[in-house]
Amino acid sequence: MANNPFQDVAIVATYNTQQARRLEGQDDLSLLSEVIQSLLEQSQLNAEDIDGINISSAVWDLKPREALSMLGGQDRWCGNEFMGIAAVIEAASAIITGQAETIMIACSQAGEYSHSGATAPWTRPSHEFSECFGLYTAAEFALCAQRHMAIYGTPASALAEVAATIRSNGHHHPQAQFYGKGLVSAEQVLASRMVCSPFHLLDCCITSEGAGGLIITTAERARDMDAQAVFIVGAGTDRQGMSYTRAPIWDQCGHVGQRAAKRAFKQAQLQPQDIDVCEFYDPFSFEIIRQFEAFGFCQPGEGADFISDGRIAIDGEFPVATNGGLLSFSHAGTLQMLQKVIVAYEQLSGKMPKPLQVKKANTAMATNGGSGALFCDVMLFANEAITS
Amino acid sequence: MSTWGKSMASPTENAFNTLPEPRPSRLTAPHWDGCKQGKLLAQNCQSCFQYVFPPQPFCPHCITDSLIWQSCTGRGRIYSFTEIHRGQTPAFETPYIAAIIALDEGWHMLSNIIASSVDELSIDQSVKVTFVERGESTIPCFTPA
Repeated sequence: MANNPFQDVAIVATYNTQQARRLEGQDDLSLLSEVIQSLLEQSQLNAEDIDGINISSAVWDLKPREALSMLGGQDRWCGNEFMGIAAVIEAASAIITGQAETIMIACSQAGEYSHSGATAPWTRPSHEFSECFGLYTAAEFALCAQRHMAIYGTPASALAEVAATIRSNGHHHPQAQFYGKGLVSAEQVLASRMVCSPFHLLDCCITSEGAGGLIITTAERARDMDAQAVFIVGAGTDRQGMSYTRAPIWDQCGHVGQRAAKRAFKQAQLQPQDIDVCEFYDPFSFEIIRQFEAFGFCQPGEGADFISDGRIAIDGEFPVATNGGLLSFSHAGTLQMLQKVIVAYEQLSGKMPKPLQVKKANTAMATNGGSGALFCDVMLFANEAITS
Repeated sequence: MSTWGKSMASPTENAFNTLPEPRPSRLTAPHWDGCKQGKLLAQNCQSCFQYVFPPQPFCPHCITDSLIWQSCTGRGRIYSFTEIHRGQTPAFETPYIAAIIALDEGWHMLSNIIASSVDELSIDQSVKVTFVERGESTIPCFTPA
Protein backbone atom coordinates (compact mmCIF):
# COMPACT_ATOMS: atom_id res chain seq x y z
CA MET A 1 0.00 0.00 0.00
CA ALA A 2 1.19 3.49 -0.82
CA ASN A 3 2.47 5.64 2.01
CA ASN A 4 0.22 8.30 3.47
CA PRO A 5 0.85 11.40 1.34
CA PHE A 6 0.78 13.65 4.42
CA GLN A 7 3.03 11.55 6.66
CA ASP A 8 5.86 14.07 6.58
CA VAL A 9 3.96 17.17 7.76
CA ALA A 10 2.68 18.28 11.16
CA ILE A 11 0.99 21.28 12.76
CA VAL A 12 3.13 22.52 15.65
CA ALA A 13 1.41 25.70 16.87
CA THR A 14 -1.97 27.40 16.69
CA TYR A 15 -3.32 30.66 18.06
CA ASN A 16 -6.62 32.52 18.29
CA THR A 17 -7.13 36.08 19.49
CA GLN A 18 -10.21 36.89 21.54
CA GLN A 19 -13.29 36.63 19.30
CA ALA A 20 -16.14 39.14 19.68
CA ARG A 21 -18.95 40.91 17.88
CA ARG A 22 -16.71 43.97 17.92
CA LEU A 23 -13.13 44.20 19.18
CA GLU A 24 -12.91 47.86 20.15
CA GLY A 25 -9.71 49.60 19.13
CA GLN A 26 -8.57 46.69 16.97
CA ASP A 27 -8.33 46.26 13.24
CA ASP A 28 -7.23 43.52 10.87
CA LEU A 29 -3.57 44.38 11.08
CA SER A 30 -3.28 44.84 14.84
CA LEU A 31 -4.87 41.43 15.27
CA LEU A 32 -2.52 39.84 12.74
CA SER A 33 0.42 41.31 14.64
CA GLU A 34 -0.78 39.57 17.81
CA VAL A 35 -1.20 36.25 15.98
CA ILE A 36 2.20 36.33 14.28
CA GLN A 37 4.07 37.26 17.47
CA SER A 38 2.26 34.64 19.51
CA LEU A 39 2.86 31.86 16.99
CA LEU A 40 6.58 32.65 16.87
CA GLU A 41 6.83 32.80 20.64
CA GLN A 42 4.91 29.58 21.14
CA SER A 43 6.96 27.63 18.59
CA GLN A 44 10.23 29.32 19.63
CA LEU A 45 10.91 30.08 15.99
CA ASN A 46 12.33 33.28 14.51
CA ALA A 47 10.73 35.03 11.57
CA GLU A 48 13.66 33.80 9.44
CA ASP A 49 12.70 30.21 10.24
CA ILE A 50 9.34 30.76 8.52
CA ASP A 51 10.11 30.14 4.86
CA GLY A 52 6.54 30.20 3.61
CA ILE A 53 3.41 32.17 4.44
CA ASN A 54 -0.25 32.45 3.62
CA ILE A 55 -1.46 35.48 5.58
CA SER A 56 -4.46 37.60 4.64
CA SER A 57 -7.09 39.89 6.10
CA ALA A 58 -10.64 40.70 5.09
CA VAL A 59 -11.22 44.40 5.72
CA TRP A 60 -7.81 45.71 4.66
CA ASP A 61 -8.01 43.13 1.89
CA LEU A 62 -4.42 42.18 2.66
CA LYS A 63 -3.23 39.57 0.14
CA PRO A 64 -0.61 36.91 0.95
CA ARG A 65 1.91 38.55 -1.38
CA GLU A 66 1.45 41.86 0.42
CA ALA A 67 1.77 40.16 3.80
CA LEU A 68 5.21 38.79 2.90
CA SER A 69 6.78 42.09 3.92
CA MET A 70 5.31 41.79 7.45
CA LEU A 71 7.91 39.10 8.18
CA GLY A 72 10.76 40.79 6.32
CA GLY A 73 11.48 40.59 2.63
CA GLN A 74 13.51 37.39 2.50
CA ASP A 75 12.89 34.71 -0.15
CA ARG A 76 9.84 32.67 0.79
CA TRP A 77 7.16 30.40 -0.60
CA CYS A 78 3.81 32.24 -0.72
CA GLY A 79 0.36 30.69 -0.71
CA ASN A 80 -2.52 31.63 -2.96
CA GLU A 81 -5.77 33.14 -1.82
CA PHE A 82 -7.11 29.81 -0.59
CA MET A 83 -8.82 29.78 2.79
CA GLY A 84 -9.07 27.43 5.74
CA ILE A 85 -8.55 23.74 5.02
CA ALA A 86 -7.73 24.46 1.37
CA ALA A 87 -4.90 26.74 2.51
CA VAL A 88 -3.60 24.05 4.86
CA ILE A 89 -3.69 21.46 2.06
CA GLU A 90 -1.80 23.87 -0.19
CA ALA A 91 0.84 24.52 2.48
CA ALA A 92 1.20 20.81 3.28
CA SER A 93 1.62 20.10 -0.42
CA ALA A 94 4.31 22.77 -0.64
CA ILE A 95 6.19 21.17 2.24
CA ILE A 96 5.79 17.64 0.84
CA THR A 97 7.14 18.74 -2.55
CA GLY A 98 10.05 20.62 -1.00
CA GLN A 99 8.94 24.19 -1.77
CA ALA A 100 9.16 25.20 1.87
CA GLU A 101 9.86 23.72 5.28
CA THR A 102 7.93 25.83 7.80
CA ILE A 103 4.81 27.75 6.81
CA MET A 104 2.67 30.20 8.76
CA ILE A 105 -1.02 30.54 7.85
CA ALA A 106 -3.04 33.35 9.43
CA CYS A 107 -6.05 35.53 8.72
CA SER A 108 -8.10 38.19 10.43
CA GLN A 109 -11.20 40.33 10.17
CA ALA A 110 -12.20 43.36 12.19
CA GLY A 111 -14.39 46.34 11.46
CA GLU A 112 -16.51 45.40 8.44
CA TYR A 113 -20.17 44.86 9.27
CA SER A 114 -21.90 48.09 10.19
CA HIS A 115 -25.36 48.20 8.57
CA SER A 116 -27.83 46.43 10.85
CA GLY A 117 -30.76 46.94 8.47
CA ALA A 118 -29.49 44.41 5.95
CA THR A 119 -27.91 41.00 6.15
CA ALA A 120 -24.09 40.98 6.42
CA PRO A 121 -22.41 42.08 3.18
CA TRP A 122 -20.63 38.78 2.55
CA THR A 123 -23.92 36.89 2.75
CA ARG A 124 -25.64 38.90 0.02
CA PRO A 125 -25.27 37.45 -3.45
CA SER A 126 -24.37 39.69 -6.36
CA HIS A 127 -25.50 37.26 -9.02
CA GLU A 128 -28.55 38.08 -11.11
CA PHE A 129 -30.24 34.66 -10.78
CA SER A 130 -30.25 34.70 -6.98
CA GLU A 131 -29.98 38.35 -5.91
CA CYS A 132 -33.22 39.41 -7.62
CA PHE A 133 -35.27 36.92 -5.61
CA GLY A 134 -34.04 38.11 -2.21
CA LEU A 135 -31.77 35.14 -1.57
CA TYR A 136 -28.80 35.26 0.79
CA THR A 137 -26.65 32.63 2.44
CA ALA A 138 -29.11 31.52 5.13
CA ALA A 139 -31.91 31.19 2.57
CA GLU A 140 -29.76 29.09 0.25
CA PHE A 141 -28.97 26.68 3.08
CA ALA A 142 -32.62 26.76 4.20
CA LEU A 143 -33.68 25.47 0.77
CA CYS A 144 -31.44 22.44 1.34
CA ALA A 145 -32.74 21.83 4.86
CA GLN A 146 -36.39 22.16 3.79
CA ARG A 147 -35.96 19.55 1.07
CA HIS A 148 -34.28 17.15 3.50
CA MET A 149 -37.07 17.68 6.02
CA ALA A 150 -39.71 17.01 3.35
CA ILE A 151 -38.03 13.85 2.04
CA TYR A 152 -37.00 12.27 5.34
CA GLY A 153 -39.29 13.87 7.90
CA THR A 154 -36.36 15.46 9.71
CA PRO A 155 -37.94 17.46 12.55
CA ALA A 156 -37.10 21.06 13.47
CA SER A 157 -36.38 19.76 16.98
CA ALA A 158 -33.32 17.88 15.63
CA LEU A 159 -31.93 21.08 14.13
CA ALA A 160 -32.59 22.81 17.44
CA GLU A 161 -30.74 20.10 19.37
CA VAL A 162 -27.68 20.59 17.17
CA ALA A 163 -27.76 24.37 17.67
CA ALA A 164 -28.28 24.05 21.42
CA THR A 165 -25.37 21.62 21.79
CA ILE A 166 -22.92 23.76 19.83
CA ARG A 167 -24.03 27.06 21.40
CA SER A 168 -23.67 25.55 24.85
CA ASN A 169 -20.08 24.60 23.99
CA GLY A 170 -19.33 28.26 23.24
CA HIS A 171 -20.57 29.23 26.71
CA HIS A 172 -17.55 27.36 28.15
CA HIS A 173 -14.82 28.79 25.87
CA PRO A 174 -13.16 31.96 27.21
CA GLN A 175 -12.22 33.17 23.69
CA ALA A 176 -15.73 32.65 22.28
CA GLN A 177 -17.99 35.55 21.36
CA PHE A 178 -20.73 33.95 23.48
CA TYR A 179 -18.49 32.94 26.39
CA GLY A 180 -20.39 32.99 29.65
CA LYS A 181 -23.67 33.93 27.93
CA GLY A 182 -25.39 30.83 29.26
CA LEU A 183 -26.24 27.31 28.17
CA VAL A 184 -28.79 27.12 25.37
CA SER A 185 -31.68 24.65 25.21
CA ALA A 186 -33.43 23.28 22.12
CA GLU A 187 -36.59 25.00 23.35
CA GLN A 188 -34.79 28.37 23.31
CA VAL A 189 -33.65 27.73 19.75
CA LEU A 190 -37.20 26.95 18.63
CA ALA A 191 -38.52 30.01 20.48
CA SER A 192 -36.07 32.41 18.82
CA ARG A 193 -37.40 34.48 15.93
CA MET A 194 -37.65 32.96 12.46
CA VAL A 195 -34.99 34.09 9.97
CA CYS A 196 -35.95 31.91 7.02
CA SER A 197 -37.82 28.65 7.53
CA PRO A 198 -36.75 26.27 8.94
CA PHE A 199 -33.97 28.35 10.51
CA HIS A 200 -34.63 30.28 13.70
CA LEU A 201 -32.13 32.93 14.74
CA LEU A 202 -30.25 30.51 16.99
CA ASP A 203 -29.89 27.97 14.14
CA CYS A 204 -27.77 30.53 12.26
CA CYS A 205 -24.12 31.52 12.55
CA ILE A 206 -23.10 34.74 14.23
CA THR A 207 -20.92 37.56 12.84
CA SER A 208 -17.66 38.29 14.61
CA GLU A 209 -14.26 39.90 14.61
CA GLY A 210 -11.06 38.09 15.38
CA ALA A 211 -7.88 36.54 14.05
CA GLY A 212 -6.08 33.24 14.22
CA GLY A 213 -3.30 31.23 12.68
CA LEU A 214 -1.08 28.17 12.76
CA ILE A 215 2.36 26.88 11.86
CA ILE A 216 2.86 23.76 9.79
CA THR A 217 6.24 22.12 9.20
CA THR A 218 7.94 18.82 8.42
CA ALA A 219 7.36 15.89 10.76
CA GLU A 220 11.12 15.66 11.19
CA ARG A 221 11.39 19.27 12.31
CA ALA A 222 8.34 18.88 14.53
CA ARG A 223 10.06 16.07 16.42
CA ASP A 224 13.08 18.32 17.02
CA MET A 225 10.94 21.12 18.38
CA ASP A 226 9.72 21.48 21.92
CA ALA A 227 6.16 21.62 20.61
CA GLN A 228 3.18 19.36 20.48
CA ALA A 229 2.76 17.96 16.98
CA VAL A 230 -0.55 17.02 15.43
CA PHE A 231 -0.38 15.20 12.13
CA ILE A 232 -2.52 15.65 9.03
CA VAL A 233 -3.49 12.14 7.93
CA GLY A 234 -5.93 12.79 5.10
CA ALA A 235 -7.64 15.54 3.15
CA GLY A 236 -9.89 16.24 0.21
CA THR A 237 -11.79 19.06 -1.49
CA ASP A 238 -15.08 18.92 -3.39
CA ARG A 239 -16.07 21.97 -5.46
CA GLN A 240 -19.20 22.19 -7.61
CA GLY A 241 -18.92 25.79 -8.82
CA MET A 242 -19.27 29.32 -7.53
CA SER A 243 -21.42 29.56 -4.41
CA TYR A 244 -24.79 31.29 -4.68
CA THR A 245 -24.92 31.56 -8.47
CA ARG A 246 -27.41 28.77 -9.12
CA ALA A 247 -30.14 26.93 -7.25
CA PRO A 248 -28.79 24.62 -4.49
CA ILE A 249 -30.58 21.49 -5.72
CA TRP A 250 -30.47 18.91 -2.92
CA ASP A 251 -30.16 15.95 -5.32
CA GLN A 252 -26.96 17.52 -6.65
CA CYS A 253 -25.41 19.24 -3.62
CA GLY A 254 -26.81 17.34 -0.60
CA HIS A 255 -23.90 14.90 -0.66
CA VAL A 256 -21.14 17.47 -1.25
CA GLY A 257 -17.98 16.46 0.60
CA GLN A 258 -18.66 12.74 0.24
CA ARG A 259 -15.99 12.25 -2.42
CA ALA A 260 -13.51 14.36 -0.44
CA ALA A 261 -14.23 12.42 2.77
CA LYS A 262 -13.85 9.05 1.05
CA ARG A 263 -10.43 10.09 -0.22
CA ALA A 264 -9.37 11.43 3.16
CA PHE A 265 -10.51 8.30 5.03
CA LYS A 266 -8.71 6.10 2.51
CA GLN A 267 -5.47 8.09 2.91
CA ALA A 268 -5.73 7.89 6.69
CA GLN A 269 -6.84 4.25 6.70
CA LEU A 270 -9.60 5.31 9.03
CA GLN A 271 -13.38 4.85 9.08
CA PRO A 272 -15.96 7.37 10.27
CA GLN A 273 -16.42 5.41 13.51
CA ASP A 274 -12.71 5.91 14.27
CA ILE A 275 -13.11 9.71 14.57
CA ASP A 276 -12.99 11.04 18.15
CA VAL A 277 -13.72 14.73 17.47
CA CYS A 278 -15.96 16.13 14.69
CA GLU A 279 -15.03 19.76 13.99
CA PHE A 280 -17.65 20.05 11.26
CA TYR A 281 -18.43 23.37 9.62
CA ASP A 282 -21.62 24.70 11.20
CA PRO A 283 -22.91 27.77 9.35
CA PHE A 284 -26.41 26.47 10.14
CA SER A 285 -27.54 23.71 12.49
CA PHE A 286 -28.85 21.49 9.69
CA GLU A 287 -25.41 21.18 8.11
CA ILE A 288 -24.23 18.96 10.97
CA ILE A 289 -27.03 16.47 10.26
CA ARG A 290 -26.19 16.61 6.56
CA GLN A 291 -22.50 15.95 7.08
CA PHE A 292 -22.97 12.88 9.28
CA GLU A 293 -25.01 11.44 6.39
CA ALA A 294 -22.73 12.60 3.56
CA PHE A 295 -19.53 11.34 5.21
CA GLY A 296 -20.98 7.91 5.98
CA PHE A 297 -21.33 8.15 9.77
CA CYS A 298 -24.97 7.16 9.17
CA GLN A 299 -27.30 6.50 6.25
CA PRO A 300 -29.07 9.27 4.27
CA GLY A 301 -32.13 10.36 6.22
CA GLU A 302 -30.85 8.99 9.54
CA GLY A 303 -29.00 12.15 10.58
CA ALA A 304 -31.72 13.46 12.89
CA ASP A 305 -31.78 10.23 14.93
CA PHE A 306 -27.99 10.02 14.80
CA ILE A 307 -27.38 13.36 16.50
CA SER A 308 -29.92 12.75 19.28
CA ASP A 309 -29.48 11.57 22.88
CA GLY A 310 -26.29 13.51 23.50
CA ARG A 311 -24.23 11.74 20.86
CA ILE A 312 -22.73 15.03 19.60
CA ALA A 313 -22.07 16.53 23.05
CA ILE A 314 -18.53 16.85 24.44
CA ASP A 315 -18.90 13.56 26.35
CA GLY A 316 -20.78 11.88 23.50
CA GLU A 317 -19.57 9.47 20.86
CA PHE A 318 -19.04 12.15 18.17
CA PRO A 319 -18.62 15.58 19.77
CA VAL A 320 -19.25 18.38 17.27
CA ALA A 321 -17.94 21.96 16.95
CA THR A 322 -16.41 21.70 20.38
CA ASN A 323 -15.35 25.37 20.71
CA GLY A 324 -18.85 26.64 19.92
CA GLY A 325 -18.23 26.82 16.20
CA LEU A 326 -19.74 29.40 13.88
CA LEU A 327 -22.85 29.52 16.06
CA SER A 328 -21.12 30.75 19.19
CA PHE A 329 -17.30 30.88 19.00
CA SER A 330 -16.67 33.05 15.94
CA HIS A 331 -17.57 33.72 12.32
CA ALA A 332 -15.17 36.36 11.04
CA GLY A 333 -14.71 36.51 7.28
CA THR A 334 -12.82 33.36 6.33
CA LEU A 335 -11.12 32.90 9.70
CA GLN A 336 -13.75 30.44 10.90
CA MET A 337 -12.63 28.04 8.18
CA LEU A 338 -9.09 27.99 9.55
CA GLN A 339 -10.45 27.78 13.10
CA LYS A 340 -11.82 24.30 12.35
CA VAL A 341 -8.20 23.18 11.92
CA ILE A 342 -7.07 25.15 14.98
CA VAL A 343 -9.66 23.55 17.26
CA ALA A 344 -8.83 20.07 15.92
CA TYR A 345 -5.19 20.75 16.89
CA GLU A 346 -6.24 22.02 20.33
CA GLN A 347 -8.32 18.91 20.98
CA LEU A 348 -5.61 16.45 19.92
CA SER A 349 -2.91 18.30 21.83
CA GLY A 350 -5.02 18.55 24.99
CA LYS A 351 -5.14 22.35 24.96
CA MET A 352 -8.89 22.91 25.10
CA PRO A 353 -10.51 24.62 28.10
CA LYS A 354 -11.23 21.82 30.56
CA PRO A 355 -15.04 21.54 30.18
CA LEU A 356 -14.58 21.23 26.41
CA GLN A 357 -11.62 18.84 26.28
CA VAL A 358 -12.69 15.54 24.72
CA LYS A 359 -11.26 12.58 26.62
CA LYS A 360 -9.16 10.20 24.51
CA ALA A 361 -9.02 12.62 21.58
CA ASN A 362 -6.66 10.81 19.20
CA THR A 363 -8.30 11.54 15.84
CA ALA A 364 -10.27 14.51 14.53
CA MET A 365 -12.10 15.52 11.37
CA ALA A 366 -12.42 19.16 10.32
CA THR A 367 -14.57 20.46 7.48
CA ASN A 368 -15.31 23.73 5.62
CA GLY A 369 -18.20 24.69 3.35
CA GLY A 370 -21.63 23.13 2.98
CA SER A 371 -24.51 22.15 0.75
CA GLY A 372 -25.84 25.66 0.13
CA ALA A 373 -22.33 26.87 -0.70
CA LEU A 374 -21.73 24.06 -3.24
CA PHE A 375 -18.37 23.04 -1.77
CA CYS A 376 -16.96 21.02 1.09
CA ASP A 377 -13.34 20.50 2.13
CA VAL A 378 -12.33 17.92 4.72
CA MET A 379 -9.18 17.18 6.70
CA LEU A 380 -8.35 14.34 9.09
CA PHE A 381 -5.87 14.59 11.97
CA ALA A 382 -4.19 12.22 14.37
CA ASN A 383 -1.74 12.74 17.18
CA GLU A 384 0.50 10.14 15.63
CA ALA A 385 1.62 10.09 12.01
CA ILE A 386 0.13 7.32 9.90
CA THR A 387 3.15 6.19 7.94
CA SER A 388 1.95 3.24 5.91
CA MET B 1 -22.74 40.88 -11.58
CA SER B 2 -23.12 38.97 -14.79
CA THR B 3 -22.60 35.22 -14.87
CA TRP B 4 -19.03 35.67 -16.03
CA GLY B 5 -18.17 38.91 -14.28
CA LYS B 6 -15.49 38.95 -11.60
CA SER B 7 -16.65 41.87 -9.51
CA MET B 8 -18.18 40.87 -6.18
CA ALA B 9 -19.00 44.45 -5.18
CA SER B 10 -21.76 44.73 -2.62
CA PRO B 11 -24.72 47.01 -3.20
CA THR B 12 -24.13 50.54 -2.01
CA GLU B 13 -26.08 51.92 0.95
CA ASN B 14 -28.56 53.55 -1.49
CA ALA B 15 -29.26 50.20 -3.08
CA PHE B 16 -30.70 48.92 0.21
CA ASN B 17 -33.93 50.77 -0.49
CA THR B 18 -34.35 49.55 -4.05
CA LEU B 19 -35.19 46.01 -5.11
CA PRO B 20 -32.29 44.55 -7.11
CA GLU B 21 -32.69 44.32 -10.88
CA PRO B 22 -30.86 41.91 -13.17
CA ARG B 23 -27.75 43.18 -14.94
CA PRO B 24 -27.91 41.05 -18.08
CA SER B 25 -24.74 40.03 -19.85
CA ARG B 26 -24.46 38.95 -23.47
CA LEU B 27 -24.92 35.41 -22.17
CA THR B 28 -28.00 36.03 -20.00
CA ALA B 29 -29.83 38.82 -21.89
CA PRO B 30 -32.07 36.46 -23.93
CA HIS B 31 -33.57 35.09 -20.70
CA TRP B 32 -34.42 38.53 -19.35
CA ASP B 33 -35.63 39.79 -22.75
CA GLY B 34 -37.94 36.78 -22.87
CA CYS B 35 -39.41 37.72 -19.50
CA LYS B 36 -40.31 41.16 -20.88
CA GLN B 37 -42.27 39.40 -23.61
CA GLY B 38 -44.01 37.09 -21.15
CA LYS B 39 -41.94 34.05 -22.09
CA LEU B 40 -39.79 31.85 -19.85
CA LEU B 41 -36.69 31.00 -21.87
CA ALA B 42 -33.92 28.52 -21.12
CA GLN B 43 -31.16 27.07 -23.24
CA ASN B 44 -31.73 23.70 -24.85
CA CYS B 45 -29.02 21.55 -26.40
CA GLN B 46 -29.72 20.44 -29.97
CA SER B 47 -27.22 17.64 -29.58
CA CYS B 48 -28.20 15.95 -26.29
CA PHE B 49 -31.60 17.71 -25.84
CA GLN B 50 -30.99 18.60 -22.21
CA TYR B 51 -31.93 21.99 -20.80
CA VAL B 52 -29.30 24.30 -19.34
CA PHE B 53 -29.82 27.02 -16.73
CA PRO B 54 -28.29 29.40 -15.62
CA PRO B 55 -27.03 30.17 -19.13
CA GLN B 56 -23.75 28.63 -20.27
CA PRO B 57 -21.48 29.30 -23.26
CA PHE B 58 -21.72 25.67 -24.41
CA CYS B 59 -23.56 22.53 -23.28
CA PRO B 60 -22.03 21.29 -19.99
CA HIS B 61 -23.61 17.85 -20.52
CA CYS B 62 -22.21 16.91 -23.93
CA ILE B 63 -19.68 19.79 -24.37
CA THR B 64 -21.00 20.88 -27.76
CA ASP B 65 -21.89 24.31 -29.16
CA SER B 66 -25.48 23.30 -29.74
CA LEU B 67 -27.40 25.52 -27.31
CA ILE B 68 -30.42 27.44 -28.55
CA TRP B 69 -32.91 29.47 -26.53
CA GLN B 70 -36.26 27.74 -26.17
CA SER B 71 -39.54 28.99 -24.77
CA CYS B 72 -40.81 26.81 -21.93
CA THR B 73 -44.31 26.14 -20.61
CA GLY B 74 -43.61 28.00 -17.37
CA ARG B 75 -45.14 25.11 -15.46
CA GLY B 76 -43.33 23.16 -12.81
CA ARG B 77 -43.26 22.02 -9.20
CA ILE B 78 -41.91 23.44 -5.96
CA TYR B 79 -38.60 21.63 -5.37
CA SER B 80 -37.99 23.47 -2.10
CA PHE B 81 -39.06 26.76 -0.53
CA THR B 82 -38.33 28.98 2.44
CA GLU B 83 -40.35 31.74 4.04
CA ILE B 84 -37.96 34.62 4.60
CA HIS B 85 -38.60 36.84 7.61
CA ARG B 86 -35.22 38.59 7.61
CA GLY B 87 -35.03 40.28 4.22
CA GLN B 88 -31.91 40.41 2.08
CA THR B 89 -32.20 44.21 2.35
CA PRO B 90 -34.93 46.51 3.72
CA ALA B 91 -36.22 46.85 0.13
CA PHE B 92 -37.76 43.38 0.41
CA GLU B 93 -41.14 43.40 2.15
CA THR B 94 -41.19 40.51 4.64
CA PRO B 95 -42.15 37.78 4.83
CA TYR B 96 -41.57 36.61 1.28
CA ILE B 97 -41.12 33.17 -0.19
CA ALA B 98 -38.01 32.07 -2.07
CA ALA B 99 -38.08 28.76 -3.85
CA ILE B 100 -36.34 26.39 -6.19
CA ILE B 101 -38.73 25.58 -9.05
CA ALA B 102 -38.33 22.30 -10.96
CA LEU B 103 -39.66 23.19 -14.42
CA ASP B 104 -41.60 20.56 -16.38
CA GLU B 105 -38.84 20.60 -19.03
CA GLY B 106 -36.34 19.30 -16.45
CA TRP B 107 -34.39 22.37 -15.37
CA HIS B 108 -34.38 24.32 -12.08
CA MET B 109 -34.37 27.99 -11.15
CA LEU B 110 -34.49 30.16 -8.06
CA SER B 111 -37.56 32.36 -7.87
CA ASN B 112 -40.23 33.80 -5.61
CA ILE B 113 -43.67 32.30 -5.02
CA ILE B 114 -46.54 34.72 -4.75
CA ALA B 115 -49.10 33.16 -2.42
CA SER B 116 -51.55 34.49 0.14
CA SER B 117 -50.10 32.22 2.83
CA VAL B 118 -47.10 29.93 3.15
CA ASP B 119 -49.47 27.40 4.71
CA GLU B 120 -51.00 26.71 1.29
CA LEU B 121 -47.62 25.63 -0.11
CA SER B 122 -45.91 22.27 -0.06
CA ILE B 123 -42.94 20.65 -1.74
CA ASP B 124 -43.80 19.03 -5.12
CA GLN B 125 -46.89 21.25 -5.49
CA SER B 126 -47.64 22.47 -9.06
CA VAL B 127 -46.88 26.11 -9.87
CA LYS B 128 -46.94 28.30 -12.96
CA VAL B 129 -44.91 31.32 -13.96
CA THR B 130 -46.14 34.89 -13.65
CA PHE B 131 -44.16 37.94 -14.70
CA VAL B 132 -43.68 40.87 -12.35
CA GLU B 133 -42.41 44.26 -13.49
CA ARG B 134 -39.57 45.75 -11.46
CA GLY B 135 -38.10 49.06 -12.64
CA GLU B 136 -36.85 48.56 -16.19
CA SER B 137 -36.91 44.78 -15.81
CA THR B 138 -39.38 41.92 -15.66
CA ILE B 139 -38.86 39.21 -13.04
CA PRO B 140 -40.23 35.65 -13.41
CA CYS B 141 -42.16 34.58 -10.29
CA PHE B 142 -44.51 31.67 -9.65
CA THR B 143 -48.02 31.12 -8.25
CA PRO B 144 -49.81 27.90 -7.28
CA ALA B 145 -51.22 26.34 -10.46
